[in-house]
Amino acid sequence: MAKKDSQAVAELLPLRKSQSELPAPESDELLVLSLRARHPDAGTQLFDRYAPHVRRVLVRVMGPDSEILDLVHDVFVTALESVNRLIDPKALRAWLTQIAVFTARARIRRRVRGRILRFLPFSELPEPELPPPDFEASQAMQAVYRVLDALDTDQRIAFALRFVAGMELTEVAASCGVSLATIKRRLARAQISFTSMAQKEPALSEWLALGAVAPEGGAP
Amino acid sequence: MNALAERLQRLGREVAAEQDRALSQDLSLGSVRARVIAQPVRRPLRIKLWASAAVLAAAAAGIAVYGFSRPRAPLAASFGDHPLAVGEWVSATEPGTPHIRFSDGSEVALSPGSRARLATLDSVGAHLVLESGAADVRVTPNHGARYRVSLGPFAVDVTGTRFDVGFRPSDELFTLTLHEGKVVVSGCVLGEGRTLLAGESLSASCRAGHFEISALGAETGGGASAAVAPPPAPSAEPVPGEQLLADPMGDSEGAHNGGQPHDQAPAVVVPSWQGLSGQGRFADAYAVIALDGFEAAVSRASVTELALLGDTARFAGKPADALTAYQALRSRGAGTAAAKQAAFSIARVHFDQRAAYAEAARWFRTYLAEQPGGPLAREAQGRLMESLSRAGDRVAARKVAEQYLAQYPHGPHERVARQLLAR
Repeated sequence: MAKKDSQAVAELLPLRKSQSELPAPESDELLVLSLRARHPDAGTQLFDRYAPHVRRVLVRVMGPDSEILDLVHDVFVTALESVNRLIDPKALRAWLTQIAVFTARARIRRRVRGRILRFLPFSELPEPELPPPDFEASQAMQAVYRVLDALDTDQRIAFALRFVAGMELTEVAASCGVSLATIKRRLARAQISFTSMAQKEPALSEWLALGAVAPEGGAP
Repeated sequence: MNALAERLQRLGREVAAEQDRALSQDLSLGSVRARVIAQPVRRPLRIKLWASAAVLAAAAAGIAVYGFSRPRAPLAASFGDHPLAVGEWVSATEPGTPHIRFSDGSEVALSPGSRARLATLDSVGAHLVLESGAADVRVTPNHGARYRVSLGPFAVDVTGTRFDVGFRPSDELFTLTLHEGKVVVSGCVLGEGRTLLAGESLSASCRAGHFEISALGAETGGGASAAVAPPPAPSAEPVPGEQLLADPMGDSEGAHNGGQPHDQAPAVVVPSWQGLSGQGRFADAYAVIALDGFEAAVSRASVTELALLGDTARFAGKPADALTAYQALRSRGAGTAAAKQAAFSIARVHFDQRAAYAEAARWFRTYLAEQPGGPLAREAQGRLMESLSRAGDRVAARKVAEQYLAQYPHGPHERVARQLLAR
């Protein structure tokens, strides 16, 4: 009986391993306050709470990519350095999503510039080919990201957040830091470009059953 | 949604599902976690430049000041003829009670029935905790003077001024009338701080979630009075056109900055730890307390708040801090019912969270000695028996078991007691 009692108590009052450990604040507002106060545990708690979400956003935008973990690292370093600029602490998750999107965008643009620079002299060439991605991707997924690679960067991001991440239009707009109207225009162009380029991808033809259909959000 | 968008979403969902399957088998985030935590947080260059300028300016100012002045001696405080030491309580029992006087000329006149404690005293000022009642505070405007008066969840920071202040714990009503100078009042519905100027008065209630600033002599609700809603709660939805987020990377085309100066933390309403604790959000409440440090919270807490502080720390899984608060309650509120009950709480911390059973037994005994017919006496007796048993003192445990069965034959620890006696 005593054992059961103590077990019940232990469940109610879990023992902490370290006395210096800050119990994880349940709300984002308080986590932000702890981060701003530079509490030693706050960065760990931020990572533990949001790293899976951040990685998922990055994977949606980038596709199978060997640099995802580096990007996750960059997102959290940026977040920890700029947490004082977060206006509404309750919007912590949306803010991290935005940082993830902008981090991915910067990386994609660097690669695009790298592709252009390949026409320059050897001494000015960017980094070598990337190693293979972390996981095997199906033909359909590879085809989707081949097509997305060919899109304008902002269109690619809007498309990935809307159709792969399944975000609402307002979420896509907030994550990209632009207005709803801008994101609708961007998505309309992205759909047209994607469907046009997807015609060269046999793995996508069944999925799209391509035809002359107006894009979501109206005409570009 | 049109047909094409639906097909794209189906394709996207399939891609996402495949990605999630791959991610669920990938545990490599741990290595990134270690790198992120090991990474020192850099401040932006702009801040470094400002900081450098500030350091140089401070150094120059320091050199100049050092040349003309020597470190100031700590202030002294007295209550009538009695020198007042840090940590001492004083109470005003009747009109004409002596004032609390400080050696820089500042003084605090307590109204009858008021109770205050000198929490800290240094060379530039003092921290006075007014547990209940009212006081007339006059702070001599010396260069660099810094006084703080805490009243329940409110705090008044002052450099040189005269004001009347009061606090009624029963409904957490705070009032302040400012006659001269300027003060900053913070806490609870006032968030991180509201500045009051001479000629203004403030009343605020945590419980009602409301505060009001009015001009002296103006009728409440009249033209010179302004009823003010609490600062927007962090959960407030953004109004249309208002941006939630600052541009996180600073390089976004069309990204919005929300009008905040870079590197300056936007104002955040800090919820009161008392409110969070009352809602059972103990980890959140503890996080708020930890912003200023638990020791500081203990030093400025009233007797009533000390019990809540201890409970908050206990339920947040911080036994060391819980013990600090309960011990402060035992010494500061000696003889009160709350202090007697703190003995039981201390025993629980030792038993439940530290597995220090001998110490737990000592405190359960203390509770029973102080409150033999108290509301927790039966539970204390049962847990004393358990504590002794776990501490290995079987003889004492059996003796308590016999007493327990005699007093509470069908109590919740009956079975434990019988098992002990059967061995």
